[in-house]
Amino acid sequence: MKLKEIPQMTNNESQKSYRHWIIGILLLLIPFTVAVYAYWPQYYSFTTTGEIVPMEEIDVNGSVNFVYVQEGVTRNRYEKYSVGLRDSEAEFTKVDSSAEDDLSAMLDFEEDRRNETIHYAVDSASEVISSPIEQDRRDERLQQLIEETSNYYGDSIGLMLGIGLVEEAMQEDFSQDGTIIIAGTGTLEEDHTVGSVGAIRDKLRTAEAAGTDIFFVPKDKETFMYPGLSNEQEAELASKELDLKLQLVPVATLEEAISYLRQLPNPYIRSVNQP
Amino acid sequence: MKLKSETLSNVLKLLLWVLVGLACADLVSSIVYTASLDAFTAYIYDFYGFIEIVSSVLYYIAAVVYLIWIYCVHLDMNTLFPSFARSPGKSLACILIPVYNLFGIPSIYRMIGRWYLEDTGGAKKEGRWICSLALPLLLFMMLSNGLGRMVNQADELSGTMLLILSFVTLILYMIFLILCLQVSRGLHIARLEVLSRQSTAVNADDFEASPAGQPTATHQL
Repeated sequence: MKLKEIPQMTNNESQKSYRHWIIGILLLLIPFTVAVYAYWPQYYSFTTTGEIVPMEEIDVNGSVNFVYVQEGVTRNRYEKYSVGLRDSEAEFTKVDSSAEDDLSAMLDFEEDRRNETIHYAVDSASEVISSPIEQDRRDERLQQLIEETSNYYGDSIGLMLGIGLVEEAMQEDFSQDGTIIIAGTGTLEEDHTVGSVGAIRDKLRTAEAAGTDIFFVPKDKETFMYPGLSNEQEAELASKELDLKLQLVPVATLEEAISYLRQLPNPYIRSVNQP
Repeated sequence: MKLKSETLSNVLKLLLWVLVGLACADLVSSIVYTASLDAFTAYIYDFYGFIEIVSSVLYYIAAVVYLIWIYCVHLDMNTLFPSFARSPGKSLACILIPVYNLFGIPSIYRMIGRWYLEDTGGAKKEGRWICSLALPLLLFMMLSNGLGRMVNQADELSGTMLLILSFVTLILYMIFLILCLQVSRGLHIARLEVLSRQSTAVNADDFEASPAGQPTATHQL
């Protein structure tokens, strides 16, 4: 009689039946470890280039442009990598975990500063053209501009908004029918002076990439009250280092910027028409 | 007779099950992204990023395991079916050589499926599954690659595109999983059939060797 073989698992076979679980789990640990590493909290603040925006986009009938740059905080290596992938020239600075709260607090503050500079730009432009507008119309215009710029933070729009509003009121076209790209940055204060701003280097890179011909910066070599380089000095340094082609124009007041634009030769030829 | 691909089949099945699970999570995330960007940003974004990283790394690990598995499957096929016409090296060439793999990848599964259909008694159902999934596998691989490139190059991520990509990826992983299950099941059945044939042949030899014409099993315990 043939005895039926009873399949019995030897020690060796038993080990083999667990082998695929061990290999599988070890292999699965690799991607999970990578993901945990990528998501481990590590904070960086970053700045990177943005775009130049025509005044028409915020419903101002002017030919000049303002510049915005992108700033933010990444919370882990994955976010840092994603930002770096989107913009290889983004600059990161390691910060602590409070940076995220600091950023949102700063955004609230910057929103107030933006509204304030818009307020000054509307008033300054009205005074420059010597044509005061009625209080109701002024308030309405102010509210409309605040709504139109609600996607942007910060007060560096002031100077360019002031120039745009002067163009609109005087029906002037400083861009000579779009042949000159004029952009710039700087706040506008109550006394029409142009105040210092941040991220000058990135703003210059943005403007250069957009083919800007003339770029206004605050003339603040004498008045800059923070540690480090003033906007004017930083812009001159960046212009040399980045070998920028745009014409850098430091201005102290809205009137100075308007005068500069009014005396531009027509036609304007880049690199020939240096002031 | 032990199947060389057995352990790897089990490992690959495990990895593919996890990939299918992750693809389901990815699909749910894409649905939320398409329905409401705000809800996605508030509740899903972090989870989605984590899933993306795990899926991406696991995909490459599974790809390496898959290549080794295909090699071992062909070693087993050559052992179980001596007339099986494709060597393990050639099967890898079918997958890895660009352009040629458009023909090569479906041909691998068609050949395995056909052998199950024609040379086994119990693995015909598996053979039919494998043959029928060979072409969809290629189509979904091409679709997934094309859509993946479009999504990566797009300036603005379209919700619909992301949703379609997630769906195609899920289907692709499911096809891979079904193929892995069917191929390994077919190999198991084929192995049992070969063992059974060998056992029958030994019994027949014993029967013929009996001096009194009676079947005995003197040397079996």
